[in-house]
Amino acid sequence: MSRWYRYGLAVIVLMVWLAPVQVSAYSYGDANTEDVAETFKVIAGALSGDKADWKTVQDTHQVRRSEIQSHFGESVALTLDKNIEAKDSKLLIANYKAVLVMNLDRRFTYALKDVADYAAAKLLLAKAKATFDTLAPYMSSGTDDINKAFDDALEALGNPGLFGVGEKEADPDTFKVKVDYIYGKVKPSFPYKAYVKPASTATGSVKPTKAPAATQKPSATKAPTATSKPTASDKPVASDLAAEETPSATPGAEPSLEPAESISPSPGTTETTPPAASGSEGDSDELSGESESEVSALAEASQQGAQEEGHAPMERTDKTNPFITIFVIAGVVIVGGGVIWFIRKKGLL
Amino acid sequence: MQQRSLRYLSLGAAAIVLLTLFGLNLRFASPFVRSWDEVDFVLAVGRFDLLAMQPHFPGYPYFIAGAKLVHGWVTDPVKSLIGWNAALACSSFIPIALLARRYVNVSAALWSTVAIQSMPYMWLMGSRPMSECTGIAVLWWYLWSVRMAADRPHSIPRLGAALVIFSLLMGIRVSYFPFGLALLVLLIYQYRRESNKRIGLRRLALAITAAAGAQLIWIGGLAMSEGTLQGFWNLSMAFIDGHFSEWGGGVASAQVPLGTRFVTLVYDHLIRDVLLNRLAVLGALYGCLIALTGCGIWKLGSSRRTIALDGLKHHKWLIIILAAYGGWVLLGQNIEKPRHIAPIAGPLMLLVYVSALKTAHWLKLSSVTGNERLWNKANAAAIPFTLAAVVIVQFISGAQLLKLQAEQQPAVYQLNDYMGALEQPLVLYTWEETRVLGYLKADYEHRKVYTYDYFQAITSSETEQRVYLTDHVLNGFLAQNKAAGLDVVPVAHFTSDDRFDPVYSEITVYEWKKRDSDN
Repeated sequence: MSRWYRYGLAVIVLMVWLAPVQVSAYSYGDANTEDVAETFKVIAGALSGDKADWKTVQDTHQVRRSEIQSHFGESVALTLDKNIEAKDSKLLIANYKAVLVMNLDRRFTYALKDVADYAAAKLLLAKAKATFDTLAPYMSSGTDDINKAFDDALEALGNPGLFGVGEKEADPDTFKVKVDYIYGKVKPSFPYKAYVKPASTATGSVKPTKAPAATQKPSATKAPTATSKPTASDKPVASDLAAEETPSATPGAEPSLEPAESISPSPGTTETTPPAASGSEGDSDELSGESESEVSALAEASQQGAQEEGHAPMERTDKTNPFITIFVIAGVVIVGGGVIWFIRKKGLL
Repeated sequence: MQQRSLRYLSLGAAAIVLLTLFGLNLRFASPFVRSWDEVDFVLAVGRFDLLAMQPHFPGYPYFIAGAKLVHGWVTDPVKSLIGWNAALACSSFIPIALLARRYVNVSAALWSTVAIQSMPYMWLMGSRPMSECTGIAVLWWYLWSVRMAADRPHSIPRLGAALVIFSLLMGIRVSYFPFGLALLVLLIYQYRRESNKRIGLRRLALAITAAAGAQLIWIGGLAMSEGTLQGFWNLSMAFIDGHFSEWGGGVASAQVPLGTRFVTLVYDHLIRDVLLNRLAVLGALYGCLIALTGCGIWKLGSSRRTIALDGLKHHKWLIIILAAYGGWVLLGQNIEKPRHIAPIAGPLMLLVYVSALKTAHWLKLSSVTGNERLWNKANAAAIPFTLAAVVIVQFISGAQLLKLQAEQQPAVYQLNDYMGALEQPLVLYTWEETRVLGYLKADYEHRKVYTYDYFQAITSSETEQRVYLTDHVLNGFLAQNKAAGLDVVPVAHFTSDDRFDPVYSEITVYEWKKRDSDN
């Protein structure tokens, strides 16, 4: 019978040998995080305190730049670049907050599109919530109502239930009302100031700022299509270098019920193809996949994030993911058992 | 005749004690939701949503499904979870007694069961909305089913039952997977017993397929809770991705060396908290019991010794899987929480009790004469008396703790009351306390924060709000920046028993004084 001890110990030793790197301090990741928002937190953190850490800001922004550029347009990414270049921390933070608002819109737009797909819509809503949670400290009031609206929106997505228990139908109309309400509440607090090139370098067709807004189809559920439009940086400006760019920020008006306004096509929500000469390092491949589901784009972005982890400035804790841990250990148990069985069969033990 | 009525009396008393344990579990069901994990479970009873962390990954589907079932009659989700826990804990006396019965008589088996079920730590878990209690109860059924299958290597139903019960166990707590080693040992054992290797191999393949299929039931149920398989996959990917963008980073998680972890796990958690429940008298009684047993075994002589040690000998498989589970907890589980090591306490004590009672039995029958015979008889009688004392001490202290657990306000609840009474606007920065505060529907702002830099960035914008933070936050900050302690003033301190709240039993609230020079 002492053989059993030997088998057992052999398997345990195998497990311990293969497992520790994976399992030490294992913890579950949180799907309720949003990369753009996390980037903002690092940047805001780096700029706080006595002396701003522009190196961290630059590195962190660089990791997220292509995502920002592909979803909100080259002009937005360029504006942030220029803010960093000018070391204008107030303007950079203000603009990054505005980018978060654009991100909120991006998540809502795709959630509305995928509203029939429970899991996808829910995930996008969670990303939107993470975005809002990052903005919440900067809002003076009304966050309770917005949190409530998020809860209601989640409720409106329905629920497939656990083993069929607790099943609930989705209510797309309520969902739409709730997310429009949230966006309408958040948007006015965080205006965006686009960077404008000095007049001498402005080239190409000249269009008024509001023109895209007028031509945009006023449907909230419509997927933004990648159209070749002049970038926002080409637009003319009266006197200031920084132009106010918030057409929907009309206080008092009820923007929540007006899709055309609440999903106003600011440069942030319009997919703009970056000009070939822009010289940015963003890959335009991501744009071609824009018609696909946002979730797959999300997965892409995350893969990219993982690849860039090597030089990502964000400090990361040594958390391992549960799936790999479980599969590795299960694999070890099966393989280890197989090896022992094989050795037994060969009569070596 | 008298012997017989005495036996019935003993059996009846044991049954009554077991039912009393169950009844007290329900009577003193804890109304509090103490920790992040408990909130997760309680919310899941109302709405199952993996993404919203109700419950947290990996889902605990059978635990929640059972509680949902109870929820049909009980409106309070906390009580639903406790009802499910207590009912399963009560049911587990059957496999424990059946396992013990293999080595000792019915009465001894039942009293061993009582001694195991009344261990205060285990008993208290039956009155809390945590998944451990149900997990441990099903673990007992699983251990019994494996033992039954080992008895008849050719019985397909017995093997099938073991595989299905293991799937139930995994569907309640995946972290108990090292116990699956018992199935592996069982399959190897059965294969070796089979003379026709081709049949043996076919059986092995079939068993592995069936085991995987049984696991797929709960995994499938979980996946369907996300609507579609694709949706579940996306969610899983998001969880994996989530770990790359963990909360702005900078969590000061000091790596504890393995030796310290081992001591904490074995001494602080297993021996002090789970087995002895911090009672010196219980430690003394256990010491007595082990000394009496050891003394008895030594005196039995070599011939009898082997028979007395039967209990241990036939439980080699049990020792192997307990060691495997212990190794997993040591390396892979959160070392702050004693509950992770709790599952090995019951089987460990079963081995002790069975060995002790078996020794007593053989001492009584030992054939030596004269003085030594008298001595042996005394030794034999002392063992059941010590066991009875253990049961009495456990029952009394357990009942007191059960009442305390149901009545003492957890420190987080006290914190919430205090913060709620303060003048708003204010914001409280926390770690995991936020989850409980959110569950309690706190009407002031509270937020989880880990990094000092980010905290500074958001506090400088909140000029009109007063800023508070808990000691966990502050200690995290101090690990990042020594200057973090300069601007804080302690304003309140809350405590509760750390047997109920291992991590958040002491909470200090600090007020953050903004420096004028900054503004």
